[in-house]
Order: sequence, then C-alpha cells, then structure tokens
Amino acid sequence: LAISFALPTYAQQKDVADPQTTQKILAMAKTGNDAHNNNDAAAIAEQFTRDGVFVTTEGPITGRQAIQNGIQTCSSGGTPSTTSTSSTGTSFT
Amino acid sequence: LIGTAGNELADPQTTQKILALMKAANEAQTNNDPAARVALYTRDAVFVTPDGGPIIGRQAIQKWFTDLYQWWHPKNSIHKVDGDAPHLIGTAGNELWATGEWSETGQGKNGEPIPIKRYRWWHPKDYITKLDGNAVHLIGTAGNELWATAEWSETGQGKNGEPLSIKGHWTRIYVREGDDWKIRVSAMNTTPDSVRLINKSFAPQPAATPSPTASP
Repeated sequence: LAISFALPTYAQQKDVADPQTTQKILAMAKTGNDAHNNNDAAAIAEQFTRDGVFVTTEGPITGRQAIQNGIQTCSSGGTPSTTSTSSTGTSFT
Repeated sequence: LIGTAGNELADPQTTQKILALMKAANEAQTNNDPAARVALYTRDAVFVTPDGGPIIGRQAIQKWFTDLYQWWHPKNSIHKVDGDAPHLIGTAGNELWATGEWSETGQGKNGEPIPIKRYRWWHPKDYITKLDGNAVHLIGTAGNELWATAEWSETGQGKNGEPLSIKGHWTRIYVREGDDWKIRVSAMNTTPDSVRLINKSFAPQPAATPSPTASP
C-alpha cells in the first residue's frame, strides 16, 4: 500500500507514458518541426519506421522511402502540395 | 518482436469483425444516426475532428455527430479499410490499426456538387506541432507502442504571395525501435477555416462581366 502512495503521478494515470518516454516523443516533435521548416524530406522520413504509413487526403503512403519521395516532390512544387474540399482538407506536409 | 510491431495482419475472423464495424458505420452515417455511429467507439475513445481537435469520450463524440447531422445529411456513406487489412499493434492481439478511405454524398448550400481542388507550390514556414496536453499514451501494456494527438500550424504563401496561416491536427502511433521511437502511422487533417483561406486565395477568378449600370 505504501508503494502505491509513492507512485509518481504518471503511474496513476492509466495510459500515460512515463516522463522519459514522453520527453523522447516531444524531442521527436521538435526535430520534426526543424526538419519541416528546413524542407528536409529525408529528416522527416527518418522519423518513420521503415514500413511507416503516412495518411494524406489522397490516401496512405507506405514506406520511409516513398514518404521521403512524396515530401520531396511536394517541396519542389512538382505535385499538389495541398488538397482540399469545401468542407475538409489537408496540407500535404 | 520489438521494432516489428504493426507488421502483422489480423487473423481472418478478426478482420471480418473489423469489416463488419465499417459496414455498421456506413449504415449509421447514411441513416444520420449519432447513437449508432458512436456505439462503435470505446467509452474513453478519442475522435480527432478537423475543426476542434480531439474529442474525448463516447458522449462528447455523439454530441459532435448530432450537431453535424443538423446541417449535413450524408447519404451513400462508404468506409473501406485499405486492402481489407487491419494490422496488429504489438503481440497480444488486443489492439489493431488500419487506414481506410471514406466517401459520402452531400449537398452544398444551393444543392451544388462539392469541388475537390489541388494546389501547387506551397512553401510553408514556421511549422509547429504541439502534442495535446504534452501527453503520450500507452497502447496495451507492453510499453512498446504509443499514441498521441497534436495540433500543427504553419504559414505558407497564397496565390499572390500573401501569407496564409493554416492549422490542423494529427494522430500518430509510435513504436519502439531499440532505444528510439519511430512513427508507424501518422494521419493529419486541416481545419475548415484553413481550407477556406486556401480556397479563397487559389480559387480561379471569375471572368470580368460588364457592370449592370453600363448595360443599355
């Protein structure tokens, strides 16, 4: 019982990750922001698993290389970078 | 199996159950039935909307659909799981993920069809993504899979170089790879206000018409 009182706050929330893991994910988000603002497609794709899936409004892109290619093409203006409908839409970034 | 989470497909029986869920969603959406729609979610489910971000809990989600159906009356709703293939998360067989396509038919203000447009040469700056509540959630109990929702924002240039600040939300599943974490699935949306901004800037300009006062 004493141990349960000593549990850190995160452990009392049933599904929240521990602080160390949370910090790693927040750091990933920051790295992603930097990569995005630097138009660095490789760095953005590097955050995905090799078989990662990036869901765009045009459908899912599967695989790190395909994701990198998609972002790269988008940055160079070769394909639509933003798709939208009158009610919903997505920035393909 | 660390690092391989999400690679495995669900068994045929489970897959059929998920596909049946999609069918139930189609019927609920086509019938504009919020209660039936929300019955497919867990009691503590998170529903990421394009306008307000995540809504938490079945009751709140039902209200969102109730409000939606006040003005939007979709018919012919179809939700399809890509490849008819839900994927396992982790190894316990208690969590799945899937991507899919949905479509439905609605009417615009004057009964007009809703256009889909594509835009090029978007050069965003000041991209920021913030995790909702700075919180990352565990999937299952092994500690090898996580999920999170977030808000993103960025500023791009409109057709005439004017700044367009847009934002939206995303949902992600992370998996452990050794000491690192990687994104297994990432899905994002854009708020309706942002889409309207983009539409307004990039929409084709109507051809000039003579002023009515100039008519004979």
